[in-house]
Amino acid sequence: MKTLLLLGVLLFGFTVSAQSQKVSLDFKNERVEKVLASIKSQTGMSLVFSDQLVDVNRKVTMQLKDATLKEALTKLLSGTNLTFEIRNNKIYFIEKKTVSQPGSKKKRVTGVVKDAMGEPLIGANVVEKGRSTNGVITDFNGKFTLEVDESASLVVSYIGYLAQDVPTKGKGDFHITLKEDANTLDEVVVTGYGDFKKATYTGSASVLTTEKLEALPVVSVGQMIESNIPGISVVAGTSSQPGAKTTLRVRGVASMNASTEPLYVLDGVPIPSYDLSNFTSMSDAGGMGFIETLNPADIESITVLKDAASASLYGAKGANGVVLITTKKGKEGKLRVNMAAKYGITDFAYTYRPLMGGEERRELIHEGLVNFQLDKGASEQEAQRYADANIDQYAKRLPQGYSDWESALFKKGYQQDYNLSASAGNQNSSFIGSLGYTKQTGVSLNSEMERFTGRVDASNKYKRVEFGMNASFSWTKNVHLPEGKFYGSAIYASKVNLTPSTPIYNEDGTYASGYRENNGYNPVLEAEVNDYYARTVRAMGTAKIAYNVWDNLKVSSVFTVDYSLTKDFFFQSPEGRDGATYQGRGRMQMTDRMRYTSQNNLTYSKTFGRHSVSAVAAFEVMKYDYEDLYAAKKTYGQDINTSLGNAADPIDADQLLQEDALMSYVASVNYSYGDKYYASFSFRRDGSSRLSPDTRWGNFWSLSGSWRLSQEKFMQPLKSVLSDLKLRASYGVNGNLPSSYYGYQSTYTTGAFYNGKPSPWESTLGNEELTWEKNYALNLGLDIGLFSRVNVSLDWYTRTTKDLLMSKQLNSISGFSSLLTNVGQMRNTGVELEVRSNNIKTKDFSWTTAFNLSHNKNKILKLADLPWFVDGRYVRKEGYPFNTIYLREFAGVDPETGSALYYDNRQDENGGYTKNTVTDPGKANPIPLKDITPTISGGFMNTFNYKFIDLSFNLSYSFGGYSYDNASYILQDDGYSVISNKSTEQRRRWQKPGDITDVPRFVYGNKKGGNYNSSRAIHSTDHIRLKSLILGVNAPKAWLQKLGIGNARVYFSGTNLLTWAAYDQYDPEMSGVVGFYTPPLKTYAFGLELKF
Amino acid sequence: MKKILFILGFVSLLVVGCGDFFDTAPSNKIPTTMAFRTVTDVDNAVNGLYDLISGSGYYGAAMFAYGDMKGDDMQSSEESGVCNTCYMFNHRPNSLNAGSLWGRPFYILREAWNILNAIAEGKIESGDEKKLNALKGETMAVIALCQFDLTRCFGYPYTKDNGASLGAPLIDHLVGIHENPPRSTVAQAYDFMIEMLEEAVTLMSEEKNNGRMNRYAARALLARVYLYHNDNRKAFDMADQLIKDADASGSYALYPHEKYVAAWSVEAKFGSESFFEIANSVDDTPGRDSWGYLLNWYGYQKGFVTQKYAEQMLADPGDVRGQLLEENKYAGKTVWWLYKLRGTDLKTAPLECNNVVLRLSEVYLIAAEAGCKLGGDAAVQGLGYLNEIVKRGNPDNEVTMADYTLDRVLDERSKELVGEGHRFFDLLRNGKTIIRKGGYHLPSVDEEVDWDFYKCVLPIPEDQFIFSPEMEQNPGYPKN
Repeated sequence: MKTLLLLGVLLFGFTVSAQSQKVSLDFKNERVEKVLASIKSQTGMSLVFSDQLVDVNRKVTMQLKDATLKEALTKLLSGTNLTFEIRNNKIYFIEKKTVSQPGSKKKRVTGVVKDAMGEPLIGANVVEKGRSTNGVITDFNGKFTLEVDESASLVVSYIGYLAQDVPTKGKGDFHITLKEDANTLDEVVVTGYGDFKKATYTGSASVLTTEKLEALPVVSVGQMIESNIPGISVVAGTSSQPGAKTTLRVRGVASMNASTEPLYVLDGVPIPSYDLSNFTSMSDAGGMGFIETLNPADIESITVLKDAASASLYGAKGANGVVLITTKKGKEGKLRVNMAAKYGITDFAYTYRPLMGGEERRELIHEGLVNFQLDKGASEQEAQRYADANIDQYAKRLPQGYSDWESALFKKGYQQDYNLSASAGNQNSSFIGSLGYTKQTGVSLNSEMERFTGRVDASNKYKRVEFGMNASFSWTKNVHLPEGKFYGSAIYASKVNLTPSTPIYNEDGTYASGYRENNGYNPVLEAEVNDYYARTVRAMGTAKIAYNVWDNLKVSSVFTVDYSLTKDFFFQSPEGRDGATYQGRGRMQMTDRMRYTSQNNLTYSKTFGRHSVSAVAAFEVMKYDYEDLYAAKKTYGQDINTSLGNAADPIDADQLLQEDALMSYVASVNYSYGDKYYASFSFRRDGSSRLSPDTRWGNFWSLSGSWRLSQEKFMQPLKSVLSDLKLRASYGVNGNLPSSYYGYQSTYTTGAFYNGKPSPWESTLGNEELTWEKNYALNLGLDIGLFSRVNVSLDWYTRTTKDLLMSKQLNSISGFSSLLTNVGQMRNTGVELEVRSNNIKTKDFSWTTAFNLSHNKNKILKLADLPWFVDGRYVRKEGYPFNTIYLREFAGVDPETGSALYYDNRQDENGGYTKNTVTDPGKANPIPLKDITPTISGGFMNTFNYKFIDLSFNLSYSFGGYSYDNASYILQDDGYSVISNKSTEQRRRWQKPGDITDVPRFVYGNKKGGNYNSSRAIHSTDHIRLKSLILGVNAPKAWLQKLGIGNARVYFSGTNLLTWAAYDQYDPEMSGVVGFYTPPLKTYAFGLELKF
Repeated sequence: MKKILFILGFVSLLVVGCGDFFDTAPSNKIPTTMAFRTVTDVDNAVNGLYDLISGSGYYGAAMFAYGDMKGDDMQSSEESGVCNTCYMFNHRPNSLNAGSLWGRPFYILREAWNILNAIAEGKIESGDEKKLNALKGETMAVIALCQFDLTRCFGYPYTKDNGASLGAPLIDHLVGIHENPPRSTVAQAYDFMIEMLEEAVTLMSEEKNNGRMNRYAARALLARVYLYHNDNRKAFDMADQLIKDADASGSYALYPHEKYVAAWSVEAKFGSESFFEIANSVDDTPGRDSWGYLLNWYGYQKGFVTQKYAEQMLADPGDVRGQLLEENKYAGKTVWWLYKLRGTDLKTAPLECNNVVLRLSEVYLIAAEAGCKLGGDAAVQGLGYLNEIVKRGNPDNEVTMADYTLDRVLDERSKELVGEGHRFFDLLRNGKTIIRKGGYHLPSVDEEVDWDFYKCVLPIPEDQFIFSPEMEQNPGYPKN
């Protein structure tokens, strides 16, 4: 109700029509140009004219007070051969129709100018070639009439289109189609501190307009960005469960302790990317995302800022790149209503760790038992007897048949998505409102996400004041099946512990549980009786006000409140394994997050002659406040009512508060000369509460420049081939903060208890010297436009992290094993290439291609006083990439004995490794092995339009990367544990002397095989994937007009539809150390869009 | 115009102008400089030592798993985890697979020295000197306990070579973060802990303080340390006197035969025998990583008693201690689960049962063992103490002087103290061979272990050699 009321007020407030708009002018003998500029700034309208028609240097005297725009323009144009028209917030200056002079050698030509889609182009320039004073502008139907010499040619041009020469000889009526200039230079880079045309931008940024991607069955911003922007990768170790957090990385990993996530900026306001999961259930799998509470349908475009010049404006946290999200705004015109609906079906996108079936597994283990006895010296017969006697302990044939855990735990997911939006606007005001609903279910039991979103954005401009308000709301419910190494996790349990010989049901049909496997957990039972969900409400409000102090000086202020409340609930039923211990346990954590930002800008811009300068000064503050409340109770009388109110005994209650504060001063200057030379400088000073008062403030800056060679005179002869050429360079430093809010302080915990009494202990060893991590980035770029058809952008960068925040390892004898310090250095170097091409563009058919490629290489330059240390499966070592796997090196299988071989890898005197093979993995040294990062990755997007049909698809690819299978120690352990599942890869096992294979002999209790982590489990992630596909059909306009519909479209879309990968056991996008979380999913969807 | 400027000013100034903008503080921590001001602060900080002791990597589970799973009375099931890695002697320099037995004691030692230093520096508002002294003594006892565990896990038994070989580094002061202390010999470590404990018992209070050590507990620990140090006379005297004092106190007594089983129920925490036990409660427990949960059939099923142990107990149905075993299937076999650590009922896995570290029965058995080794008068008394334990188990049983051998005492320790983290150390320090054959033993287990087996001690973790490249590794283990 409140929202409706607000809408009404807004609609009412901004109906100021063009004609009644008032202007005041006070000019004495001033140039027309000045007068026009004043009209423009007072009305906010654009002026469309050809300077061949309008003499801007003519001096006039205009003294009007609160005159209508029409009066003013009529007065201004009196005595000329011009008239004007106002349409769509633009003032068109048009030549008065002239009557041809009879008797001259001239002829009268008429024509119409249209674009490739057949829409008339209004205001296109039509000039007689060689006589630039003779020209007209097309009218509202795209038509023109002009008197020209008998054999003259016309030059037809329009901004954003390629100029065209049209010979008139022997013809009087023309139908001219202008081709769009494929140049993407008109793309706008929105930086939050001013918008730049890409042509003039000195930094490195990629823009993604989401218009075409709206049809994709994606539910989050991250999924939208993925593989559509070069240099962005999705971080390993994150789940594809509905609502799971997508973590992006821009240009490699540049930090160890501090965040490696980019900064998200929504409409100019930095927004956080929290992990919302409170209980550990999702934390192993990446968590639940805050960014995922945004509705992708509300997004107009996404810009990713990648270099120092772009990101340094954001100083704090800009070190990992900046993802700028621009939401849709109301557009000028009558009320537009959009309705869209989508329905999709989801399934695993790729094979996921195929396992042996019941009988095959039984045979394998039988063989293992036989081998075990043979190795002990038993005869073949004795060994067989032993195996026969014991096989049922490990691989029993169940009376009810082998269990099919896959079908019991997994299903097809579905997804539905509905959006309604309405927008309207005029010259001074605009508004947009939207309402969205999304529901997605996962592929395993009890996993889904449901989301409602609502948003209103309105702005109004009156004279020198612009005012805008934006409010958005979302409600998200995640049903998050625990992932990672949870015994109740469908993924983990079914792939590791639940074998075909583990019963799902007892013979009497009740759930089986309490068995040895999987610690007695039956996830089907757990999923049925337990209950868990997380609900997040997020409300965000923004107020903006801007005031033009005088023409070029603007002061503006933006204030944003971003509030969210998450309630995470977990009920473990007394019927389930976890809950039984407590006779049912319920836990609830409520987390309240409040964050406000205030940004105050002063901007100035001035053009004198060919020089143009703009400057920004800003002051910003951000304060964040976190509070949670946790309560747990046990002893439920029943499991019908699961809320805490039904449990008898309180177990725990807890409360935690945290705060974070950031203050910044920003200044930046942009200068350009004659559309050729551009230079920018920015400076930023940030203070953070996460650092001690002495080290709190950090200074960050950047310097950048570009040179548009193609604008130079000497390049003009090449213009037809080399339509654009620009060199860019930037260098600067950005900052990053420790992830802990209070890490610099030495503290005693006051929140620990023992035996019901406080039990403080020294919980943090502080480092008063802790300071900003700094990221020095150099970017060199080249933009080339060829034949006005192909655009190539090439960037080379290197970014060096200094004062790297890292946990310096301490001698644990001191009591602490690490201390956060600024010691290390790390470097990322890379190349990015983007090619966009308009291959074909005719009235009916068009084909565009966009190809991108990125390469990044990371290297650790310096660590703390230790030159290397082991971090899980990785080694962090000076001179090596950050993500270098560190394991024993597998040397294959001895064809004679079937035992696994390893390289001993002792360091020899030359610094190399001895490569003697040993059978005892204990005698093999682990060494740095593969860098998991792909050498190259990117995407290849094609879009086709034929009349009312459009087709687009994106192929993503990645080569040279690796992953380590963290399940192989159990699925391919060669017999170490015979109670677990076994991979189908064990089919290739060695069985008799002479067998040449890479899988050793299977022996019960085998201590020296696959259970020893080795390079055997490192796999290539090379792949090509049909990442997205959209096929849409637009209904013919003629039909729709009768129904009163502006546009109607049906489409089929899909993500991750096809995959070609080097390794066939799990999804190639699961990179790094592959654990147990939902792999990428494929979705097919059908959708309908209606516009009124 | 004015209105606009006003709004603009309002919005931009909404949040600025407060000088304490950066003043933020966590809600669950205080600066270290504020940690020690009053005697209560010291008392709480000492309580904090026990909180750290109670973690699953130390006395929450690992210390017991280490002492029991490596012996011959208990074994692990086929699952992974600390029970299995200890049982399999799966210790490597790059992964000890034995809880936090290297890290956690050092952390506690640091905290303990923080307390002693705060007291020594006179930071504490005086008022109750006696209490402050008692807390000082208690801290010293904790220091001795940590040093004792480090020494017996990383160094060979004192009895093997009279402490000539290396143990862990000796933490006799607050170790700075850039300091790299060397390993001390086992003998030096024993001298240090005996000195600490001897002083501690003079300072500590006799008052019962549930979940924490008092003077009785420190004396029990000292008796155990003397025994490990092969100082049988002192061990005997300390145990003998302690038994007498405990008896006289009225606060302590052996659990009687008929109440023995009930004494292990959850409700009977901090019973009459208990000198020191780790306090657990539903809201403060290592939970599923706790020793009780690991051993429970309704819990993680990680370990049970060996067939040898079960048969020995079942052979004497009159022995009340056999009632602490419960039969239940595991992998198609009937095995016996130890129910010393219980849930609220037999079908509920325990989360709040306490872990016993020091109790009166052990002191009786220390006296019995030391007496047996000493002979003479001590042997007479020692046999008496042994029989008190034997008869409490089964009133029909009695050990005669002829049967009073070290092995008999060790057998009684095994019956009485199973699951309390003793068996491996008992056999090892007496130079016995640990035999783990047949029964339900897993096929690839080390079948015979004694103090000459290199894995009878833990390796020094590989990280240590980064800081102290010259430090010696335990024989048989590589440095990485």
